[in-house]
Amino acid sequence: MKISTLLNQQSVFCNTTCTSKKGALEKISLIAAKELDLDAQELFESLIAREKIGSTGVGSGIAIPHVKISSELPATAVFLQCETGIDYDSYDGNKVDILFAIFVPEDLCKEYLSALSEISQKLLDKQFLRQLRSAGNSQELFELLTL
Amino acid sequence: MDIIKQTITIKNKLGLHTRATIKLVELVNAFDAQITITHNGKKADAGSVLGLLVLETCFGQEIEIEASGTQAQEAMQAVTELIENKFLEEE
Repeated sequence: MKISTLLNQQSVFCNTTCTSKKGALEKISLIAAKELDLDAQELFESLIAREKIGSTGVGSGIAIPHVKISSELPATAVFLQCETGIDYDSYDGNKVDILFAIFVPEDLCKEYLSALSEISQKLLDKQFLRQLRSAGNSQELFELLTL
Repeated sequence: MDIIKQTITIKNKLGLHTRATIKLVELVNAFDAQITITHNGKKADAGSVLGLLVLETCFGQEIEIEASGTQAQEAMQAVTELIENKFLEEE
């Protein structure tokens, strides 16, 4: 599953002000709710419920929050690059400033892993991460992510 | 340095998804050992969550684990137990 099929320009945000994990997940919920025509509060509660099972902070300042959505909806992602790091209970103890949230239909387990693989492959590249962190605007971020 | 190798099948329904991967990395990091996992021609350091997520490993698929270092044997045993126990997930 290619990142370009998950993201659009309206779901990528550069230098976002985030002061907490809860605040970042609220922002993500509002953006995804618009994209998916769903209730933002319900999405937020699902994201929080998932975090309670275990943090989705994957180390190196990155988090991949995710929830399953109805099988009729398209797989969707939201990308936030925060201006400062936030506490995220990541296993490596690092603060998070990059959040790549994914919403994948519940019956698409393989596609979910495929999306995770595609995203992770990109985020493993340290130079790419530096470019994400120094992007000047959302358009530039979108182009970096979907190239 | 001796390298121990073992092939094992992923038994949890969701495969190597985020939560399972973090559990694996936390476990591996507790040992003085280097662990790598190979799946479908791709090899990852088992100390990296992103690296393991790249492998895209689903239920029923085989992975090859390689361990080296002073605690290679213990780390290999712990890792295979975690996988055999479905990462302590219900299904």
